[in-house]
Amino acid sequence: MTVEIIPTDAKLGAEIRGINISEPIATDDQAELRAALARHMVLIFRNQSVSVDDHIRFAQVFGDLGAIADTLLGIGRRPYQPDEIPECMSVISNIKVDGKKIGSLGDGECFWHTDSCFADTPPSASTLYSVELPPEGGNTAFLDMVDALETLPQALRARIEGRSIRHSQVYDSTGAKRPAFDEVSDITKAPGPVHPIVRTIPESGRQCLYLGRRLGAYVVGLPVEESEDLLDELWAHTVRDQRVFSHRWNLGDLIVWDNRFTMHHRDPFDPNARRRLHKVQVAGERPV
Amino acid sequence: MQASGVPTDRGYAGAETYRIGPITVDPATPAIGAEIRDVDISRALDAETVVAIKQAWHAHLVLLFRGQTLTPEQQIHFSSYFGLPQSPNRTSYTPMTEQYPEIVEVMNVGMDQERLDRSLGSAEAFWHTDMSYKEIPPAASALYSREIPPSGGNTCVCNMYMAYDDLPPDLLNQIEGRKAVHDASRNSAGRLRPGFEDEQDPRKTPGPHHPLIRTHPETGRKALFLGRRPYSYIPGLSLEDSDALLDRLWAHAAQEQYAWCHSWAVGDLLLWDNRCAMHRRDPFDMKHRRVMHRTQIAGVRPY
Repeated sequence: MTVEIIPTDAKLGAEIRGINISEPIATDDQAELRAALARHMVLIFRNQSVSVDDHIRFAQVFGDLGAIADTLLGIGRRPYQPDEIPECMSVISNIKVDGKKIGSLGDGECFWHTDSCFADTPPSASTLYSVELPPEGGNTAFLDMVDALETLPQALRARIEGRSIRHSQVYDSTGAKRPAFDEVSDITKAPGPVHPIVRTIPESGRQCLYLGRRLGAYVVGLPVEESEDLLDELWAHTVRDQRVFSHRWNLGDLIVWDNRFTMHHRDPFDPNARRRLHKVQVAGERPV
Repeated sequence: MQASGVPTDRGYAGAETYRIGPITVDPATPAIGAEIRDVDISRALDAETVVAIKQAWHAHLVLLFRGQTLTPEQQIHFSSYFGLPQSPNRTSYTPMTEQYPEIVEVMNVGMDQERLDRSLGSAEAFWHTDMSYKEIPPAASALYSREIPPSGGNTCVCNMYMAYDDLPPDLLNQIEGRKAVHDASRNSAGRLRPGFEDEQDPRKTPGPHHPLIRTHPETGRKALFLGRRPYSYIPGLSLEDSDALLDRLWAHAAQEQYAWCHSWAVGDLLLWDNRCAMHRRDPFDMKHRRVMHRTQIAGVRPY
């Protein structure tokens, strides 16, 4: 076996050595990578040189190709998507060419979230590859949502038993309103799917807290004020350093994360610096 | 939530009716198939129910839900508990598939002659796995009956874990590490798909090469993965050796003790696992209407 797995000091995350993503991955190594993802939730591959095709092929080690957020939202291809980028890939970048954006999410903070929680079938995993990086800032942090559930005080756990959240489609993870959606004044009416707060993975029986994102979330069936209070308490409990692993990017890093058991967050960075990442999502199933 | 009578040491189910959580499981045969009762799949399902259905599914490979009333949206919703519902590549749309691209209409009505010629028609559709001609075939398919003929058109399924477990040692030796090509140019009724040449030499068959023995990503069990017989070929062998080996494998896999045939009623939904089961369809009389809606669920590259 060529694969070396080096867990981080945090609750989640492991660096993987001995894998060259630009080459086909041996069948045994693929199985090892899937097992490592299930165990560590976040895998870091360093010093990779990955073409668009390599990246897409590698994502499929973890499952079938998923759709990007815009496709899952039904809003189609963005006009600024670079031509060489296929439909299953999104560009996350603040770079402008001839005054036009080439990617999404700009240079600001991306608040804690799981990818595409606003879809019926959110991706089971995401893969992110660094193409251009600023000298500093733009770190990505990951949070262990299995731990968040396991440490939830009993009284709070009782209040979310059987409850679900409606995940609004209106805002992106920087908090910006998506142009394709109208502002919604009544949060109980925001467009988006309803997913259980305690999520169970049917095959393993493993459970985690599934919050999606704070902005636009609504606990179905509660008065808005109660929903807001409950969500505030859940988030105050959840976001704690003890269950976070923060990654400082180096050029050539590719990160794979389990998008069911983790949330992630991006620090802001210098608007004058250039940052470009490529993302491919792995298809998932309707959360239960 | 462990049920009695389910997985034995070989992983096969018994024939007794049993309960898992909120559902009742009535095995059709010891080899494959079970009817699931006490669940309305048109509704949103809770985790306990989905966990139970998946446990039964992995034990029986093919599940039957009777007497269901489903809109296309509800069928897509139910399918999404098993993964991402996929829209197949299409050359043309109907009002149904324009609105619900995830739905495949398997039917013999409402089509012009050209589409009818390209469809599965009413003849027997031989043992096959859905869309194995793709690099990443769907993990599962759900077939829902809206209109059925008075007789014929049964769907049969067979257990490919069992076929693998029972392989004679010499046959197992010959296929370990081998792949087969899965014909992309013809459908399961043997009809040429648009844009393909009628290539007769199996050594030149267009399509992906999948391992003959695949591992189920969720159960970890090994299954024989044959796809379909016509124009199949095992690269690295002479044509004669490949044909002889494939004929033996197919004769082995198509044995009756691995199979179960379902006689349709309107409102039945059959959910099968393409990673460990094949299926086939009996012929029926073309003058009767048969309208089925199929969804397929994204899978992984076979390994």
